[in-house]
Amino acid sequence: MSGFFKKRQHPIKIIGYTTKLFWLLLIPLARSLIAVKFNVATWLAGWWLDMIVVGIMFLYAFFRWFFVTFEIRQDEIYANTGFFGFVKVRIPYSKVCTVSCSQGLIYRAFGAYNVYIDTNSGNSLKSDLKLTVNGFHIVKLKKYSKAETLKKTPFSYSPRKRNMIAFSFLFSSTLSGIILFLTLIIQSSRIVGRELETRFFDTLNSYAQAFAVNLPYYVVIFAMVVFLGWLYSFSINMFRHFNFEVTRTDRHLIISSGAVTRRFHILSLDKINYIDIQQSLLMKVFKICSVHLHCTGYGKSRREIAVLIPVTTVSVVEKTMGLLLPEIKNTDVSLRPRVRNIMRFLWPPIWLCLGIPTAAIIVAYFVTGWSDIIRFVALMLEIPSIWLLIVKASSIFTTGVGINRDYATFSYCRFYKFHKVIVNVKDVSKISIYQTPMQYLAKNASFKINTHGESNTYHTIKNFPLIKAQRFYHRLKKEI
Amino acid sequence: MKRIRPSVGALYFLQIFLALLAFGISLISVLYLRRFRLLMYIIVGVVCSLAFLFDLILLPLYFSRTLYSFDKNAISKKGGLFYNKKQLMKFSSVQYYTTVKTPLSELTSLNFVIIHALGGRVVLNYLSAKELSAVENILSENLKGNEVEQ
Repeated sequence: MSGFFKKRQHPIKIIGYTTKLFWLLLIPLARSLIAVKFNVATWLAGWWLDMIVVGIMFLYAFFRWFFVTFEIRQDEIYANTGFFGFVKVRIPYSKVCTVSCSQGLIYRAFGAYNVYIDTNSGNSLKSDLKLTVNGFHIVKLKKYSKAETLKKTPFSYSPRKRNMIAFSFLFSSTLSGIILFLTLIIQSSRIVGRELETRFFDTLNSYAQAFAVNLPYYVVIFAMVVFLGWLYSFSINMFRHFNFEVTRTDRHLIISSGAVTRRFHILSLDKINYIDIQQSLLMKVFKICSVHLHCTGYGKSRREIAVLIPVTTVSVVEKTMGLLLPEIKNTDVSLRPRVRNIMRFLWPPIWLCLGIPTAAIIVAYFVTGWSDIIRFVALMLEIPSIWLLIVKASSIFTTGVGINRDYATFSYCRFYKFHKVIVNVKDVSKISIYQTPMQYLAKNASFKINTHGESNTYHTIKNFPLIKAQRFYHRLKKEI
Repeated sequence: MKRIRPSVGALYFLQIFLALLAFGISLISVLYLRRFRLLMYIIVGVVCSLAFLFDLILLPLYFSRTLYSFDKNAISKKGGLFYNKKQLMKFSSVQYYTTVKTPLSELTSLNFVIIHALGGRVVLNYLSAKELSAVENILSENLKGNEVEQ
């Protein structure tokens, strides 16, 4: 490979530097050529201005690609980025938290990879450095960042396919699925025309009318939208986390996954901020859980879940964690809220359960003729509120904090999810102990613990007896 | 301890650039807004006042009050227009740095260094080419020093 290409991104990036407008002009240009039956002279006479604009856009993309250069050195990554390479970035490997690589179908055909490099600084929404490289650079990057095992045989964990299906089922979000699916339809219709959008909504309408025999039409539409949104999110999660594998090397974790777009992440072990064992109420009943980890750069993409061990039984998690991360010690919870303070946990969902029907009655009184829809919406909102009440009632038995020399454990419930966070005390950046006016009267207190990371990450654990909470606070402060 | 001030070359460049920009906007207003005299006078007045304010008061004040210091353990930036501001960043917190070198920066001194650290960043503005290299050397040495300690 010549020196010219060695220090530049993969040529496919030129297409990446063209904007959406480029394709919005190119497709009508191609259509017009077909319309004039490939009569080039007529085509040029009628579309010369569009062709000049397309040409300028392509030239701009080419110059952007030409001026962006990089070098994978032994101790750092050096890059000239920004518009026309004015911006120079130098990131030493010792500061890198995560190196992520992804390769979609088209990139695979051309041997290109997207590489994202992240440190504990910079923008919490974007990676610190993003490049499009070829396989040669990936090998060099792995070698110099010492991601390969030096001494011991690496340990790998790969969950069963049925566990991955369960993971995708449990962690799919209807709301994000609806947003993504609608975005896909709207963006596609911008490129190929409104026919796609019209056809989709007509098909949805016809199915809704077919099913709306004994049910109101709006109920069927709502159910279809929810189901389609969830199904889209489930499919994306399945494809994204297919072939999931995590490998432990001397100083790194290598996590790979993906069916269509293949991804792998190299995480520095000393940059992992904390482990978060997550469960829903049903997962607790069936003694299964999911282990997530917080390391800057991993899970940054909107559709990515920062998972270490997807859904499996608690006993398998304990064994696997002992092999993947033996340094992390699970600490027992030593301080719990008093059971007689259960109402502190229940008041917010109780107010929600009472407030929804009250609001529905008031709205139905003033907005006549919409009582059926109002009743339906109130019912749809009441069901998750009652579930939240049940979840919060069980959370009093699981909430707690513990500390054991190097590691602290914080167990709490946020909305519908139970979290058990295990963090090295040196990664705790701030501890706050506070009381609301009601807690002041009841002599209770809550903790807010901030942990290291690019963004403001904190954990709130509530309703402990004040004196014991103050003792724990001083102990944690001493360990920090 | 090494002390660096923003380059005077950048101050002169910015003053000339702002004056020319104000002149250009005023000329365009006079040429194209003759029919709307009141609007023309307002635009010319505002633009010239702003140019005067920046060129003769704010920019010289900013450049005279800004100072970057490098000692063994930390970088500090002092400055501020209407009130004093001081920022201190330990070398041990620095994750990486970015340098921005604009075209013709040998003349204009429009060179910048952005130092990224845990939880924040410090921007060093308007460095000359020589000072930019000096800052890059200091940061490289300290980042290497941190690596060895780790």
